[in-house]
Amino acid sequence: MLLDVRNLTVSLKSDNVKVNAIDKMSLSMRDGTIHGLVGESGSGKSLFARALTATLSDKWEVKADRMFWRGQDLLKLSTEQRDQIIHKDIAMIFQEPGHCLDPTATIGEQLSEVVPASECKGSFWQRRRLRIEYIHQLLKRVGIKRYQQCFDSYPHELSEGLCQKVMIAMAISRNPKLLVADEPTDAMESTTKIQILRLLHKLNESKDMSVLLITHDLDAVTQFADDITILYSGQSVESAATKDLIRRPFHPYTEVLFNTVPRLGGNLTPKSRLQALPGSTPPLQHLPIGCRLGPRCLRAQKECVVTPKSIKLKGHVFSCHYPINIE
Amino acid sequence: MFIYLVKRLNLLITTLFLLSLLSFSLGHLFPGDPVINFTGQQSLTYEEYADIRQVLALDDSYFMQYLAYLDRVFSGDFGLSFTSQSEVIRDFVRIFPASAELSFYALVVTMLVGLPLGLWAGVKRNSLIDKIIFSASAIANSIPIFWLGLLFILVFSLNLAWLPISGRLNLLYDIPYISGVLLIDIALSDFDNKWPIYQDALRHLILPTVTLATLPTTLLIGMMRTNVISVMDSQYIKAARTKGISLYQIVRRHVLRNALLPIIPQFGLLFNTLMTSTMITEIIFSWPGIGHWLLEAIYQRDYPVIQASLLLVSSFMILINVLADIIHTLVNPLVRKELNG
Repeated sequence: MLLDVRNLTVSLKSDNVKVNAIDKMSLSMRDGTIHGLVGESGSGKSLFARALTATLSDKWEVKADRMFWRGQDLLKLSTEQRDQIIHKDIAMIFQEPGHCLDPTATIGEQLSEVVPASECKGSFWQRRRLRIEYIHQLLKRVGIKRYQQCFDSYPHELSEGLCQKVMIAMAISRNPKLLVADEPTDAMESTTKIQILRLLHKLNESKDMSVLLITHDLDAVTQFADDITILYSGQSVESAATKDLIRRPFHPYTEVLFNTVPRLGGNLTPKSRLQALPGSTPPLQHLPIGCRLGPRCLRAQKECVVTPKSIKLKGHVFSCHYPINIE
Repeated sequence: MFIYLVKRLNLLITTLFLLSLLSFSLGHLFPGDPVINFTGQQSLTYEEYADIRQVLALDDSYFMQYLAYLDRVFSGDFGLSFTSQSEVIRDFVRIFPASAELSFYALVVTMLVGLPLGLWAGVKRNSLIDKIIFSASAIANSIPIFWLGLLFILVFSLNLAWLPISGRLNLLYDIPYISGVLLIDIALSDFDNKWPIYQDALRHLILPTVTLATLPTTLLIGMMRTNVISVMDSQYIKAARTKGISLYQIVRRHVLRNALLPIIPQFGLLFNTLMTSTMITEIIFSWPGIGHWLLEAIYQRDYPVIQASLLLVSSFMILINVLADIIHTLVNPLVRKELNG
């Protein structure tokens, strides 16, 4: 097991109230897989990534029963040890890559500062050349053909897709065990999007690097991810292998979520209503008690005011009092 | 890029044109005869008077007069000073280095103090050190500079008697005028024992420099702090932090440059404050510079001097502003991007 998080609670401390933005979420990742983390906007996907990489500000409080990274509990380590592990093994890429690069430094400069010293051993005058070679290698590996030109460019001279490739190049420069991709293809053209996702897929296969793909793009995640965890309002809903999850979801939300994807052909008549849950996601200051899906759930009953325990059944982990598709 | 330069130069020329127009009209607006106001020659015979009227084209239209005025400005003829009866431009060139020297040292102090403190306060936002720096700069910013100068004189010169009250150099030392910049002149002079002279000059410099640097420093701290805070909040700094680069490295490689770049165009603003403060400081410390000269001219109703110094000082400020803008464009890739579209 690469990553095993149990009952992670991330809460926002404000003056008088404490809001659990992520409430007892669990997620486990196998080595060398692509794990999709799916949820609506504001369901705490990015928050999870930032809690994992310890980049949250002091306002946030992170608690968990356990947060195992390759058998080590990250939350029990000292800050320095933890940072060391995270910086060595976990890399992260973000949405809007153009904003994640220093606008006043060339790509080459920015890449050279993340190249680990171990990659350019040599005498003082060789080091610079070795480093540049290593960067060229990196840029080639992420599929940038005109790497020399890219090396000398400023971020604003590159397209979003190229910027994201550069970000990926930066991320893989340290050969991380896990790449956290926080909505890497948000607001990108579909061709660029597929390029980036294919690149991640390729890196996952060839470098044996696990990818935590955080997204709300269901098409992409079902196509590329091996396992999926679904979040709703900061609670984990269901987690299973992608195929199982699509074929036979146990949680009502999972079923509704996958039904929202309009299928071409079939019985989709013009101007028919699209599938969607009634209502909208609750804001953080008005979270319902118990199962947070409760007020919108079609199957909700009295027991749903108590937070459901996560149940493990046939490879699925789900939290629901009244699961579906179970005979 | 070329079009941008043309645009900037266009702005420079337009402003200078308006300024020259103002300066020219002052010759007519000042009380007294325009002939005397423009030339500064007070005792003229009737013949000379008629000749000069001819040269100044005063009988022609205002437009022709303006052209004649421009012609004189470009040949460096600003007339004579009423008081000293020497050429105004010559006085200006002689006096200007003293002001420039003082401003330059104050600018250096401003940079050396303002940038690091602003950076420190911005990086450690909302900490105790930030609050100390920020409130100290707010206090210093609200102290009137002439009061501060007088206070310094009272404390350091009169009470403690550490530093001299006024002037550039003890009267004992007679340094010949070569470049006008005192420290260079001392180096060029052929005295045997130069060290005490340097020491004396520096002791004279301390109070005016500190007084002058106070206001720009506080402004710079404020600018730098705001910029650093906005840069620290940006996405790319957050991204850099996940890459495992230490805070020191992030500040050195990313924050510093990105926070400094927007300051360059604001530098013009800083310079304007500096120029005005220089004039006040010069008066407090009897520093023989432009401010002193201008104020003296106003007291004496020395119209040619007022007219000329208005034109020269403001042209200089505009030049610096435009230069700061152009330099900013040259060094900031983001602005170049906007230019190239």
